Amino acid sequence: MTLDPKRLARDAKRVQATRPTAGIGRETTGVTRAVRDGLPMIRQLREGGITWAAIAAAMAAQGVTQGAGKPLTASRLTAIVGQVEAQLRRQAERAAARRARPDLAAPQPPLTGDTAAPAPVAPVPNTPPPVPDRAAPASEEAIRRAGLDALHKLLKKA
Amino acid sequence: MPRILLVAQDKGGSGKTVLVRALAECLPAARLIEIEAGRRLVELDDRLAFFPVRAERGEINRTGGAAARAEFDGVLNAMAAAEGPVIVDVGANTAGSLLPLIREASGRYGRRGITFALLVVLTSEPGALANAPVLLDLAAPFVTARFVVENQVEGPVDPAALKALGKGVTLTRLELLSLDARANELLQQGGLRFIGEDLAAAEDNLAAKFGFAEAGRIVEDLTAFRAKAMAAAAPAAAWLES
Repeated sequence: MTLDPKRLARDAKRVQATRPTAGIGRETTGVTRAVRDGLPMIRQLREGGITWAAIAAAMAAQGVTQGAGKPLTASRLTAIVGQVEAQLRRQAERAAARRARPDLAAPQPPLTGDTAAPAPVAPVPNTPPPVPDRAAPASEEAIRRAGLDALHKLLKKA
Repeated sequence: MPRILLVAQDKGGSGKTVLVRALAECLPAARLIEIEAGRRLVELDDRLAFFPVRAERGEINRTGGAAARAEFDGVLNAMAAAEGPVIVDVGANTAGSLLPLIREASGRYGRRGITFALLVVLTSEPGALANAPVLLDLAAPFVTARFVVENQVEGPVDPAALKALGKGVTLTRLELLSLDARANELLQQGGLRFIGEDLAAAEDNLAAKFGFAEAGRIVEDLTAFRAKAMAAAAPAAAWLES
């Protein structure tokens, strides 16, 4: 069988375009993606006193559903918001830890001239970098939301 | 007329949040305010306003103490905006600072038609025993009702200590109930709300996961616990609703 290279490129680009841009492999539901995209607005609405139930209803009106077409509920929305926020927090903590590593080169400014420059090389540390013995601890709220989400999954009808 | 019930005990681990959840079950239309270091009532998010305490030391130092004076502004504002029954979960080590501020503003709250009551959770733990009368005295000048729930989680409270609370206090009891270990785990995860809303319909799921017999115990224990907690909270809930 022969492949159509043009079609292969076109289809691969189309599939790639439908995937999340943040490189999150496990994201499978439309609700999570909708929450991720709309998180700043959701937070803004909450600060303005809008209830979770009202936000969930408004998202459901735009087609955001849970399970088999059921409208998004407030408790499901808050559970997913908690998960997304915990994930963003972990990403920020990992990025901060990476920036603090002495064995990695700092980002170089872009070159402006035609002069060829050697590739940046990381300085060799005099002592081995400290190795964290455990991941950054999750917040109390994140743990509670994860527990509530697990409970909802347990209770959900098969 | 807006009514606000302050649920307080400055000693942590007294079961205050359980009583707040029970009140929320008694009054599904009531709004909630949670004043804590971190959110606990996550299953009630759609009815809840959360206010973190306390002000950070660095911020207090940077503002010359202004941050400490203003740390309850959000809470006081939220209570002033109350339109119906409101349950306030006053976190540990907070009531002793908050109650005097409400007392100072009680005249202004009164002009808005807002009335207050206090519910103190009492256990046999010495810190909780010592704190309860302090809070009841602090609130006496501005509340129209005072409630005490004796939580027997650490054993019955000395009857002499209960008697010393004085007249004008409505006393109820939350007896110790030994829960199935799995039931207790679910209670920690979901509070009381799912017991009333989802548990009965989920019995088949529980049976598939934990077996027929244990699923029955889980449903029975959680249903009984919710009912007992709601019974302990009932007089205060009736005040909020009246």
